[in-house]
Amino acid sequence: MKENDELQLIDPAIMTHVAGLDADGLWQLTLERLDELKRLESFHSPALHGLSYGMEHFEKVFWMFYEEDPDQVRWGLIHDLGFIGKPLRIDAWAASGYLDHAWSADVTTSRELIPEWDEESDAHYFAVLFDVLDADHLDLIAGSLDSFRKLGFADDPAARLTVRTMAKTLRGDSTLRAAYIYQT
Amino acid sequence: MDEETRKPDEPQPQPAWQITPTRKVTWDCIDCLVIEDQELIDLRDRGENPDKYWAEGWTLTLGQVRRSDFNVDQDGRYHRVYPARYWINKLKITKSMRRVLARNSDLKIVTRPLRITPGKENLYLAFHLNRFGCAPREPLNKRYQYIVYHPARLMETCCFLDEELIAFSIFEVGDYSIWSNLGVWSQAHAARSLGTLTILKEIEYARAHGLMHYYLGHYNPRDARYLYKSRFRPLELYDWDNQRWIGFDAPRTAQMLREPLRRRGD
Repeated sequence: MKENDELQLIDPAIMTHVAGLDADGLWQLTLERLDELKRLESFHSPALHGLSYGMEHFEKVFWMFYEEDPDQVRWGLIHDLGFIGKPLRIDAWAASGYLDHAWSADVTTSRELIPEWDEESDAHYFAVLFDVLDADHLDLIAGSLDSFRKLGFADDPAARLTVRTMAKTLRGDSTLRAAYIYQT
Repeated sequence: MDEETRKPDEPQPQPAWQITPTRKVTWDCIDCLVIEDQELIDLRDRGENPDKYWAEGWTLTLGQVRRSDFNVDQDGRYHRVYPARYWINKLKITKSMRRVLARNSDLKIVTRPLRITPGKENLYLAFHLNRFGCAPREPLNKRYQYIVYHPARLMETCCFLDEELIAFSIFEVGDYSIWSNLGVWSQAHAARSLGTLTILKEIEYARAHGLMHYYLGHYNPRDARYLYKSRFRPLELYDWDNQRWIGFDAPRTAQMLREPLRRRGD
Protein backbone atom coordinates (compact mmCIF):
# COMPACT_ATOMS: atom_id res chain seq x y z
CA MET A 1 0.00 0.00 0.00
CA LYS A 2 1.52 3.31 -1.06
CA GLU A 3 0.76 6.48 0.85
CA ASN A 4 1.61 9.04 -1.78
CA ASP A 5 -0.27 9.59 -5.00
CA GLU A 6 1.51 9.51 -8.33
CA LEU A 7 1.72 11.54 -11.50
CA GLN A 8 2.45 9.75 -14.75
CA LEU A 9 2.09 10.42 -18.44
CA ILE A 10 -0.60 8.37 -20.16
CA ASP A 11 -2.01 7.72 -23.60
CA PRO A 12 -5.79 7.77 -23.06
CA ALA A 13 -6.52 6.73 -26.64
CA ILE A 14 -4.67 3.44 -26.34
CA MET A 15 -6.34 2.77 -23.02
CA THR A 16 -9.80 3.18 -24.50
CA HIS A 17 -8.76 1.17 -27.55
CA VAL A 18 -7.51 -1.77 -25.48
CA ALA A 19 -10.58 -1.66 -23.26
CA GLY A 20 -12.77 -2.24 -26.31
CA LEU A 21 -10.80 -5.07 -27.91
CA ASP A 22 -11.92 -8.67 -28.04
CA ALA A 23 -9.59 -11.62 -27.42
CA ASP A 24 -8.14 -11.72 -30.93
CA GLY A 25 -7.73 -7.96 -30.91
CA LEU A 26 -5.75 -8.14 -27.68
CA TRP A 27 -3.47 -10.80 -29.11
CA GLN A 28 -2.91 -8.85 -32.35
CA LEU A 29 -2.10 -5.68 -30.43
CA THR A 30 0.31 -7.58 -28.20
CA LEU A 31 2.15 -8.83 -31.27
CA GLU A 32 2.21 -5.38 -32.89
CA ARG A 33 3.63 -3.73 -29.80
CA LEU A 34 5.80 -6.64 -28.67
CA ASP A 35 9.11 -4.78 -29.05
CA GLU A 36 7.81 -2.01 -26.85
CA LEU A 37 6.52 -4.46 -24.27
CA LYS A 38 9.86 -6.30 -24.17
CA ARG A 39 11.63 -3.07 -23.22
CA LEU A 40 9.53 -2.49 -20.11
CA GLU A 41 11.40 -2.80 -16.82
CA SER A 42 8.24 -3.77 -14.99
CA PHE A 43 4.93 -4.84 -16.46
CA HIS A 44 1.44 -5.92 -15.52
CA SER A 45 0.71 -8.17 -18.50
CA PRO A 46 1.04 -11.63 -16.97
CA ALA A 47 1.88 -13.40 -20.24
CA LEU A 48 5.08 -11.39 -20.69
CA HIS A 49 6.73 -13.67 -18.16
CA GLY A 50 6.55 -16.39 -20.82
CA LEU A 51 8.48 -14.41 -23.45
CA SER A 52 11.87 -15.70 -22.40
CA TYR A 53 10.81 -19.25 -23.38
CA GLY A 54 10.11 -18.44 -27.02
CA MET A 55 7.13 -17.24 -29.03
CA GLU A 56 5.31 -20.57 -29.06
CA HIS A 57 5.35 -20.74 -25.30
CA PHE A 58 4.43 -17.07 -25.02
CA GLU A 59 1.34 -17.60 -27.17
CA LYS A 60 0.26 -20.58 -25.07
CA VAL A 61 0.73 -18.61 -21.87
CA PHE A 62 -1.20 -15.63 -23.27
CA TRP A 63 -4.25 -17.74 -24.09
CA MET A 64 -3.99 -19.60 -20.83
CA PHE A 65 -4.10 -16.34 -18.89
CA TYR A 66 -6.89 -15.00 -21.08
CA GLU A 67 -9.08 -18.04 -20.42
CA GLU A 68 -8.42 -17.78 -16.71
CA ASP A 69 -8.83 -14.02 -16.25
CA PRO A 70 -9.56 -11.96 -19.40
CA ASP A 71 -9.92 -8.73 -17.40
CA GLN A 72 -6.44 -9.08 -16.01
CA VAL A 73 -4.98 -9.56 -19.51
CA ARG A 74 -6.87 -6.50 -20.68
CA TRP A 75 -5.83 -4.40 -17.67
CA GLY A 76 -2.23 -5.58 -18.07
CA LEU A 77 -2.10 -4.25 -21.62
CA ILE A 78 -3.83 -1.02 -20.67
CA HIS A 79 -1.25 -0.48 -17.97
CA ASP A 80 1.79 -1.51 -19.99
CA LEU A 81 0.89 0.44 -23.13
CA GLY A 82 -1.13 3.26 -21.62
CA PHE A 83 1.15 4.43 -18.80
CA ILE A 84 4.31 6.03 -20.10
CA GLY A 85 7.64 6.45 -18.35
CA LYS A 86 8.13 6.40 -14.60
CA PRO A 87 5.58 7.77 -12.15
CA LEU A 88 6.41 10.74 -9.94
CA ARG A 89 5.45 10.26 -6.27
CA ILE A 90 3.64 13.30 -5.03
CA ASP A 91 1.63 13.98 -1.90
CA ALA A 92 -1.69 15.77 -1.72
CA TRP A 93 -0.11 18.82 -0.13
CA ALA A 94 2.23 19.27 -3.07
CA ALA A 95 -0.62 18.67 -5.51
CA SER A 96 -2.94 21.04 -3.68
CA GLY A 97 -2.65 23.60 -6.45
CA TYR A 98 -4.72 21.17 -8.50
CA LEU A 99 -6.83 19.51 -5.77
CA ASP A 100 -7.92 22.84 -4.28
CA HIS A 101 -8.81 24.29 -7.67
CA ALA A 102 -12.21 24.10 -9.36
CA TRP A 103 -10.64 22.61 -12.48
CA SER A 104 -10.16 19.36 -10.56
CA ALA A 105 -13.95 18.98 -10.51
CA ASP A 106 -14.18 18.96 -14.30
CA VAL A 107 -11.69 16.33 -15.33
CA THR A 108 -12.23 13.00 -17.01
CA THR A 109 -11.39 10.12 -14.71
CA SER A 110 -10.32 6.53 -15.27
CA ARG A 111 -13.96 5.52 -14.86
CA GLU A 112 -14.70 7.08 -18.25
CA LEU A 113 -11.73 5.44 -19.97
CA ILE A 114 -11.65 1.98 -18.47
CA PRO A 115 -14.55 -0.34 -17.66
CA GLU A 116 -15.40 -1.62 -14.22
CA TRP A 117 -13.62 -4.90 -13.73
CA ASP A 118 -15.22 -8.07 -12.49
CA GLU A 119 -14.73 -8.23 -8.72
CA GLU A 120 -13.35 -11.76 -9.05
CA SER A 121 -10.62 -10.62 -11.42
CA ASP A 122 -7.09 -9.63 -10.42
CA ALA A 123 -7.69 -6.50 -12.49
CA HIS A 124 -10.17 -5.34 -9.85
CA TYR A 125 -7.43 -5.55 -7.24
CA PHE A 126 -4.64 -3.99 -9.30
CA ALA A 127 -6.55 -1.34 -11.20
CA VAL A 128 -6.08 2.26 -10.15
CA LEU A 129 -8.29 5.32 -10.01
CA PHE A 130 -6.89 8.41 -11.67
CA ASP A 131 -7.81 11.84 -12.94
CA VAL A 132 -6.83 12.73 -16.49
CA LEU A 133 -4.87 15.97 -16.44
CA ASP A 134 -3.73 18.31 -19.18
CA ALA A 135 -0.84 20.78 -19.20
CA ASP A 136 -2.82 23.50 -17.41
CA HIS A 137 -3.54 21.16 -14.51
CA LEU A 138 0.14 20.31 -14.27
CA ASP A 139 0.92 24.02 -14.15
CA LEU A 140 -1.33 24.25 -11.08
CA ILE A 141 0.69 21.51 -9.40
CA ALA A 142 3.96 23.17 -10.37
CA GLY A 143 2.52 26.37 -8.91
CA SER A 144 1.82 24.80 -5.52
CA LEU A 145 5.29 23.25 -5.45
CA ASP A 146 6.70 26.73 -6.14
CA SER A 147 4.54 28.33 -3.43
CA PHE A 148 5.72 25.92 -0.78
CA ARG A 149 9.32 26.48 -1.79
CA LYS A 150 8.85 30.25 -1.38
CA LEU A 151 7.19 29.73 1.99
CA GLY A 152 10.30 27.93 3.17
CA PHE A 153 9.00 24.35 3.17
CA ALA A 154 11.21 21.49 2.04
CA ASP A 155 11.99 21.98 -1.61
CA ASP A 156 11.91 19.19 -4.14
CA PRO A 157 13.55 20.59 -7.28
CA ALA A 158 13.43 17.22 -9.02
CA ALA A 159 9.68 17.07 -8.59
CA ARG A 160 9.22 20.63 -9.83
CA LEU A 161 11.35 19.92 -12.86
CA THR A 162 9.52 16.67 -13.60
CA VAL A 163 6.11 18.32 -13.42
CA ARG A 164 7.20 21.18 -15.68
CA THR A 165 8.74 18.69 -18.13
CA MET A 166 5.52 16.69 -18.17
CA ALA A 167 3.56 19.87 -18.92
CA LYS A 168 5.94 20.69 -21.76
CA THR A 169 5.56 17.15 -23.14
CA LEU A 170 1.78 17.46 -23.12
CA ARG A 171 1.96 20.78 -24.92
CA GLY A 172 4.17 19.16 -27.57
CA ASP A 173 1.94 16.11 -28.07
CA SER A 174 -1.79 16.57 -27.96
CA THR A 175 -2.47 12.82 -27.78
CA LEU A 176 -0.89 12.52 -24.37
CA ARG A 177 -2.22 13.40 -20.95
CA ALA A 178 -1.06 12.98 -17.36
CA ALA A 179 -2.71 10.79 -14.75
CA TYR A 180 -3.08 11.88 -11.15
CA ILE A 181 -3.22 8.40 -9.63
CA TYR A 182 -4.90 8.08 -6.25
CA GLN A 183 -3.28 5.53 -3.98
CA THR A 184 -6.10 3.84 -2.12
CA MET B 1 -28.17 -5.26 -4.31
CA ASP B 2 -30.85 -7.24 -2.53
CA GLU B 3 -31.61 -5.70 0.87
CA GLU B 4 -32.28 -9.08 2.41
CA THR B 5 -28.80 -10.40 1.69
CA ARG B 6 -27.11 -7.22 2.89
CA LYS B 7 -29.02 -6.68 6.07
CA PRO B 8 -26.58 -6.33 8.96
CA ASP B 9 -26.92 -8.62 11.92
CA GLU B 10 -29.15 -6.71 14.26
CA PRO B 11 -28.39 -7.49 17.90
CA GLN B 12 -31.23 -8.80 19.99
CA PRO B 13 -32.81 -5.96 21.97
CA GLN B 14 -31.98 -6.10 25.63
CA PRO B 15 -33.98 -4.71 28.52
CA ALA B 16 -32.56 -1.53 30.02
CA TRP B 17 -31.39 -3.19 33.23
CA GLN B 18 -28.90 -5.32 31.28
CA ILE B 19 -26.98 -2.37 29.88
CA THR B 20 -23.65 -2.08 31.62
CA PRO B 21 -22.46 1.48 31.69
CA THR B 22 -18.71 1.43 31.64
CA ARG B 23 -17.63 4.68 33.18
CA LYS B 24 -18.73 7.02 35.89
CA VAL B 25 -18.43 10.76 35.31
CA THR B 26 -19.18 13.54 37.67
CA TRP B 27 -21.16 16.55 36.59
CA ASP B 28 -22.08 19.24 39.00
CA CYS B 29 -21.59 16.80 41.85
CA ILE B 30 -24.13 14.43 40.33
CA ASP B 31 -22.66 11.09 39.36
CA CYS B 32 -23.76 9.93 35.91
CA LEU B 33 -23.41 6.54 34.33
CA VAL B 34 -22.35 6.57 30.69
CA ILE B 35 -21.42 4.12 28.02
CA GLU B 36 -17.90 4.58 26.75
CA ASP B 37 -16.42 1.59 25.00
CA GLN B 38 -13.20 1.29 23.13
CA GLU B 39 -11.67 -1.76 21.53
CA LEU B 40 -8.37 -2.11 19.78
CA ILE B 41 -9.33 -3.81 16.56
CA ASP B 42 -7.69 -3.51 13.20
CA LEU B 43 -10.59 -4.12 10.84
CA ARG B 44 -8.27 -4.37 7.86
CA ASP B 45 -6.22 -7.08 9.51
CA ARG B 46 -9.37 -8.99 10.36
CA GLY B 47 -10.85 -8.50 6.90
CA GLU B 48 -14.04 -7.21 8.50
CA ASN B 49 -16.32 -4.59 7.08
CA PRO B 50 -17.12 -1.52 9.18
CA ASP B 51 -20.87 -1.71 8.57
CA LYS B 52 -21.71 -4.07 11.40
CA TYR B 53 -19.83 -1.83 13.83
CA TRP B 54 -21.69 1.26 12.62
CA ALA B 55 -24.92 -0.70 13.06
CA GLU B 56 -24.12 -1.05 16.78
CA GLY B 57 -23.25 2.59 17.37
CA TRP B 58 -19.47 2.31 16.98
CA THR B 59 -17.27 4.81 15.19
CA LEU B 60 -13.96 3.94 13.57
CA THR B 61 -10.51 5.31 14.06
CA LEU B 62 -7.14 3.92 13.15
CA GLY B 63 -6.67 0.60 14.89
CA GLN B 64 -9.71 0.90 17.14
CA VAL B 65 -13.44 1.22 17.37
CA ARG B 66 -15.19 3.48 19.87
CA ARG B 67 -18.64 4.31 21.02
CA SER B 68 -20.07 6.56 23.64
CA ASP B 69 -23.56 7.71 24.47
CA PHE B 70 -22.61 11.21 25.59
CA ASN B 71 -20.78 14.31 24.58
CA VAL B 72 -19.68 17.36 26.48
CA ASP B 73 -20.74 20.84 25.51
CA GLN B 74 -18.61 23.97 25.79
CA ASP B 75 -19.94 24.61 29.27
CA GLY B 76 -18.72 21.22 30.43
CA ARG B 77 -22.21 19.70 30.63
CA TYR B 78 -22.78 16.09 29.64
CA HIS B 79 -25.59 15.26 27.22
CA ARG B 80 -26.82 11.93 25.98
CA VAL B 81 -26.45 11.58 22.21
CA TYR B 82 -27.80 9.00 19.79
CA PRO B 83 -26.28 7.71 16.54
CA ALA B 84 -28.44 8.75 13.60
CA ARG B 85 -29.00 6.84 10.40
CA TYR B 86 -31.28 6.64 7.37
CA TRP B 87 -32.29 3.95 4.93
CA ILE B 88 -31.10 5.26 1.57
CA ASN B 89 -33.98 3.84 -0.42
CA LYS B 90 -36.56 5.43 1.89
CA LEU B 91 -34.97 8.86 2.27
CA LYS B 92 -37.31 11.59 1.12
CA ILE B 93 -35.87 14.47 -0.85
CA THR B 94 -38.23 17.31 0.00
CA LYS B 95 -39.05 20.40 -2.00
CA SER B 96 -36.74 22.52 0.10
CA MET B 97 -33.89 20.07 -0.49
CA ARG B 98 -34.54 20.22 -4.23
CA ARG B 99 -34.38 24.00 -3.94
CA VAL B 100 -30.99 23.71 -2.28
CA LEU B 101 -29.78 21.55 -5.17
CA ALA B 102 -31.17 24.00 -7.71
CA ARG B 103 -29.73 27.03 -5.90
CA ASN B 104 -26.29 25.44 -6.09
CA SER B 105 -26.42 24.22 -9.68
CA ASP B 106 -23.75 26.80 -10.55
CA LEU B 107 -21.19 25.07 -8.34
CA LYS B 108 -18.66 22.55 -9.53
CA ILE B 109 -18.88 19.52 -7.29
CA VAL B 110 -16.65 16.46 -7.24
CA THR B 111 -16.62 13.31 -5.12
CA ARG B 112 -13.26 11.53 -4.92
CA PRO B 113 -10.85 9.86 -2.50
CA LEU B 114 -10.09 12.10 0.46
CA ARG B 115 -6.96 14.18 0.27
CA ILE B 116 -6.11 16.73 2.95
CA THR B 117 -4.96 20.01 1.42
CA PRO B 118 -4.22 23.54 2.65
CA GLY B 119 -7.49 24.75 1.15
CA LYS B 120 -9.45 22.33 3.31
CA GLU B 121 -7.39 23.10 6.41
CA ASN B 122 -8.05 26.83 6.05
CA LEU B 123 -11.75 26.33 5.47
CA TYR B 124 -12.00 23.93 8.41
CA LEU B 125 -10.28 26.36 10.78
CA ALA B 126 -12.51 29.26 9.76
CA PHE B 127 -15.62 27.08 9.99
CA HIS B 128 -14.75 25.72 13.42
CA LEU B 129 -13.97 29.17 14.83
CA ASN B 130 -17.25 30.48 13.56
CA ARG B 131 -19.44 27.55 14.58
CA PHE B 132 -17.90 26.49 17.85
CA GLY B 133 -16.01 29.59 18.91
CA CYS B 134 -12.66 27.83 19.11
CA ALA B 135 -10.02 26.22 16.93
CA PRO B 136 -10.40 22.50 16.24
CA ARG B 137 -8.68 20.11 18.65
CA GLU B 138 -6.43 18.94 15.84
CA PRO B 139 -5.96 19.89 12.18
CA LEU B 140 -7.33 17.65 9.45
CA ASN B 141 -3.94 16.27 8.49
CA LYS B 142 -3.57 14.95 12.04
CA ARG B 143 -7.14 13.68 12.27
CA TYR B 144 -6.73 11.85 8.96
CA GLN B 145 -3.06 11.14 9.23
CA TYR B 146 -2.97 7.71 7.67
CA ILE B 147 -5.71 7.76 5.05
CA VAL B 148 -4.70 4.57 3.26
CA TYR B 149 -4.69 2.63 6.56
CA HIS B 150 -8.11 3.83 7.70
CA PRO B 151 -10.51 0.90 8.25
CA ALA B 152 -13.05 2.29 5.78
CA ARG B 153 -12.49 4.03 2.48
CA LEU B 154 -12.37 7.79 3.04
CA MET B 155 -13.99 10.00 0.44
CA GLU B 156 -14.58 13.73 0.03
CA THR B 157 -17.14 15.87 -1.71
CA CYS B 158 -15.76 19.28 -2.69
CA CYS B 159 -17.85 22.25 -3.84
CA PHE B 160 -16.21 25.01 -5.85
CA LEU B 161 -17.62 28.43 -6.72
CA ASP B 162 -15.63 29.86 -9.63
CA GLU B 163 -12.14 28.83 -8.54
CA GLU B 164 -12.71 28.86 -4.79
CA LEU B 165 -13.34 25.86 -2.55
CA ILE B 166 -16.37 26.88 -0.49
CA ALA B 167 -17.49 23.61 1.06
CA PHE B 168 -16.43 20.04 1.51
CA SER B 169 -17.49 16.97 3.39
CA ILE B 170 -15.69 13.82 4.42
CA PHE B 171 -17.36 10.44 4.62
CA GLU B 172 -16.42 6.80 5.08
CA VAL B 173 -17.60 4.04 2.78
CA GLY B 174 -18.26 0.52 3.98
CA ASP B 175 -19.60 -2.47 2.11
CA TYR B 176 -23.23 -1.36 2.27
CA SER B 177 -23.27 1.90 4.24
CA ILE B 178 -21.62 5.25 4.43
CA TRP B 179 -20.78 7.23 7.54
CA SER B 180 -20.69 11.00 7.25
CA ASN B 181 -17.72 12.29 9.20
CA LEU B 182 -17.56 16.00 8.70
CA GLY B 183 -19.22 18.81 6.79
CA VAL B 184 -17.47 22.17 6.41
CA TRP B 185 -18.57 25.25 4.54
CA SER B 186 -17.73 28.89 4.09
CA GLN B 187 -19.81 31.21 6.25
CA ALA B 188 -19.60 33.78 3.50
CA HIS B 189 -21.97 31.60 1.47
CA ALA B 190 -24.31 30.58 4.28
CA ALA B 191 -27.37 31.39 2.17
CA ARG B 192 -26.55 28.48 -0.11
CA SER B 193 -27.25 25.90 2.65
CA LEU B 194 -23.99 24.20 1.82
CA GLY B 195 -24.19 21.83 4.77
CA THR B 196 -27.44 20.44 3.41
CA LEU B 197 -25.92 20.36 -0.07
CA THR B 198 -22.98 18.18 0.98
CA ILE B 199 -25.34 15.79 2.75
CA LEU B 200 -27.49 15.55 -0.38
CA LYS B 201 -24.41 14.84 -2.46
CA GLU B 202 -23.36 12.08 -0.08
CA ILE B 203 -26.84 10.61 -0.36
CA GLU B 204 -26.56 10.78 -4.14
CA TYR B 205 -23.28 8.90 -3.95
CA ALA B 206 -24.83 6.26 -1.69
CA ARG B 207 -27.77 5.84 -4.07
CA ALA B 208 -25.53 5.63 -7.13
CA HIS B 209 -23.53 2.84 -5.46
CA GLY B 210 -26.54 0.89 -4.24
CA LEU B 211 -25.72 1.36 -0.56
CA MET B 212 -28.22 0.67 2.17
CA HIS B 213 -27.61 2.95 5.15
CA TYR B 214 -26.46 6.51 5.61
CA TYR B 215 -25.09 7.34 9.06
CA LEU B 216 -25.05 11.02 9.98
CA GLY B 217 -23.10 11.15 13.20
CA HIS B 218 -24.97 11.65 16.47
CA TYR B 219 -28.22 13.37 17.32
CA ASN B 220 -28.21 15.63 20.37
CA PRO B 221 -31.73 16.79 21.23
CA ARG B 222 -30.35 19.47 23.57
CA ASP B 223 -28.12 21.17 21.02
CA ALA B 224 -29.86 23.15 18.28
CA ARG B 225 -26.89 22.68 15.95
CA TYR B 226 -27.69 18.98 15.61
CA LEU B 227 -31.44 19.25 15.10
CA TYR B 228 -31.08 19.62 11.31
CA LYS B 229 -30.68 15.83 11.19
CA SER B 230 -34.38 15.44 11.87
CA ARG B 231 -35.17 17.32 8.64
CA PHE B 232 -34.06 14.24 6.74
CA ARG B 233 -36.72 11.57 7.05
CA PRO B 234 -37.30 8.86 7.95
CA LEU B 235 -34.63 9.14 10.65
CA GLU B 236 -33.62 6.30 12.95
CA LEU B 237 -31.82 6.74 16.28
CA TYR B 238 -29.89 4.15 18.21
CA ASP B 239 -31.61 3.23 21.43
CA TRP B 240 -28.63 2.56 23.71
CA ASP B 241 -30.72 0.98 26.41
CA ASN B 242 -32.31 -1.59 24.12
CA GLN B 243 -29.44 -1.77 21.61
CA ARG B 244 -31.58 -1.34 18.54
CA TRP B 245 -32.51 1.30 16.02
CA ILE B 246 -35.88 2.98 16.40
CA GLY B 247 -37.76 5.41 14.19
CA PHE B 248 -37.71 9.09 15.12
CA ASP B 249 -41.50 9.08 15.18
CA ALA B 250 -41.81 6.00 17.37
CA PRO B 251 -43.38 6.47 20.82
CA ARG B 252 -40.24 5.17 22.56
CA THR B 253 -38.14 7.89 20.84
CA ALA B 254 -39.95 10.82 22.45
CA GLN B 255 -39.46 9.22 25.86
CA MET B 256 -35.82 8.38 25.10
CA LEU B 257 -34.98 11.94 24.02
CA ARG B 258 -36.41 13.35 27.23
CA GLU B 259 -34.31 11.10 29.42
CA PRO B 260 -31.22 12.71 30.91
CA LEU B 261 -28.07 10.75 31.57
CA ARG B 262 -28.71 8.11 34.22
CA ARG B 263 -27.52 8.99 37.64
CA ARG B 264 -26.03 6.63 40.12
CA GLY B 265 -28.77 5.11 42.18
CA ASP B 266 -31.41 5.46 39.44
